[in-house]
Amino acid sequence: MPNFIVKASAPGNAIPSRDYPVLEEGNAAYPLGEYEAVFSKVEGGRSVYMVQHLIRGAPLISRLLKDRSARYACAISSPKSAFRAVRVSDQPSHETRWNEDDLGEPPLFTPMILCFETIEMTLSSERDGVHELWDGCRIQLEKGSRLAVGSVVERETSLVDLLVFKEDPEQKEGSFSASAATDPFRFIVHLHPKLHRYLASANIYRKGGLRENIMTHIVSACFALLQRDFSEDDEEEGWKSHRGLRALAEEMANEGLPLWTDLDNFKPEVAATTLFPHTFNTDDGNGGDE
Amino acid sequence: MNQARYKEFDDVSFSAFQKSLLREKGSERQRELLEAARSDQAFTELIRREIKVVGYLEPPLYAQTLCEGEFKQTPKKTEREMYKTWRELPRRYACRAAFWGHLTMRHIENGYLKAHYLAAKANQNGLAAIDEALTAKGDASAKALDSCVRSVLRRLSGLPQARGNRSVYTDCPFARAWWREKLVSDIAEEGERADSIRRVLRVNQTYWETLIVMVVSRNSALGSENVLHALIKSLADLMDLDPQTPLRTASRLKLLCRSVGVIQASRELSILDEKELQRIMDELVLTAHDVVQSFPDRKGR
Repeated sequence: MPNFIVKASAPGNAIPSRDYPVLEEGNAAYPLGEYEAVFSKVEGGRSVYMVQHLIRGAPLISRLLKDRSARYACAISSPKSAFRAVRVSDQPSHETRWNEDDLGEPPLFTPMILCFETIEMTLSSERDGVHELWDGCRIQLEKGSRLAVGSVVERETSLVDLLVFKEDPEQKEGSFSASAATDPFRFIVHLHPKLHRYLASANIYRKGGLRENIMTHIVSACFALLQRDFSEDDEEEGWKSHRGLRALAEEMANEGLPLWTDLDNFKPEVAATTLFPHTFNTDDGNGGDE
Repeated sequence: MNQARYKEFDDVSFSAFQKSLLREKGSERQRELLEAARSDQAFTELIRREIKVVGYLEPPLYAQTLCEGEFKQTPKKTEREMYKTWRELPRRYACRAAFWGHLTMRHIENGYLKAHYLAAKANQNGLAAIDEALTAKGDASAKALDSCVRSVLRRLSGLPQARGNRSVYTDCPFARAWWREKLVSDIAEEGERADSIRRVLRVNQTYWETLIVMVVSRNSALGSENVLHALIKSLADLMDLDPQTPLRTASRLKLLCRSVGVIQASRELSILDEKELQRIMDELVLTAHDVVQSFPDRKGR
């Protein structure tokens, strides 16, 4: 999975009713403030991410961090298994670890900067970078006060994250079939062992390779399965009850694609080739022929 | 996620099994399941035939024969013994319908439980409920079959695709016992204090469900164990002092949990030390109790 980034800046002019300025999405408390958390994989680590917090245009928060009155933090949670833990660090770049046995699903992350002391102060827009509305306001920060908050990050945001490949000797050579598991939602792709080995060993970074085109075919089959079995969206037990499918629906909406619930307009092959277009090398043999 | 270590139902075939049963109200498929549920052997054969099992470690069985009432509304003592049997289980399995479904089926196979208990209603035993559903006529027939099948699936394992994350914690008696007693054991040593905690968690099924919904919701403050424990301890203290406190109603509990959420929105409660966190929870609980006492005619809106 590639790195992912969470940003919180302050476009707009809303100031939610908070007792002190918070740098968060949709809050103009710091007009020039930007908070970004970049998550990256740690080599060889299965249950760990490196989080790098970047803060700009919020001198008050930067000062509190420098004084060690504030610290960097990241909440890891799995609502399904009633698990939530907050990892705290003095360093802007720190590891966020978890134990797989605690989680019932891929973890959610919420990056934050938290205050660790009780502090009283009078705010100044010039010194602290806060909105002028806060000028002269007396505030009290307490241990735990959230100074900056990023939005919740899910590791699964694309269809590829939902694919699980399984070797299946019952498939014919060169064949595969797709089915669904729902706890949590996954597409299970049953592959003939040779095909399984090929997909596992082929260079995933090579553009225009056979692997990419097989993947597009698999994705098309998965969309067909969604259209067939997951088009009901009633409140309780429809596709919306699956976190992974909600994220996929957002991805499709961003691409301007109709959802699989739109029986008149949705075409599995169009969705698959839009998200994962067939690629080919125009220099090889027939590839570039008109 | 890691490959299954404990034996459980295979996700794909279990999902397909549930989906085929829920697809159409009153279908032949629903009738087939209920007919099978009258006999332990037919029921487990049907499940074994349709759902694969994965994993290699067999979790221990709660080797006591349960009567229907004991399974449906498990007594404190039985829940405590069940938890002892499965206390090594990681959360990763304890939140999964596929795990509990397999374990419940194993208890039926070994004669500790009857398959028809899964269909029991509040005031009707399982066999009678199945018979009523199978013999219902006219418009009521499809609805009766569907409702009975859902009861069976909920008690077997929980039914998260219909009722969300809470279903495993609230609908499957074995899973409910595990989660409830895990909370007791994490919060208090066995003794009077543990009994006070149990009183909070066992006010009634709606109360338990209300609490769990708050715990397994995305972004809930009560997802953090120390925050949840502190809230339960405060409620236990209050119920020890005033066993009839208005905070024993699910609607009041919901409001109380929301007020924890309001604080958490600006203050990360989980990083506070134990004493400070407990002080905040005590204050919240006592304030909520006093407010309700002062305005007894206000409904928990």
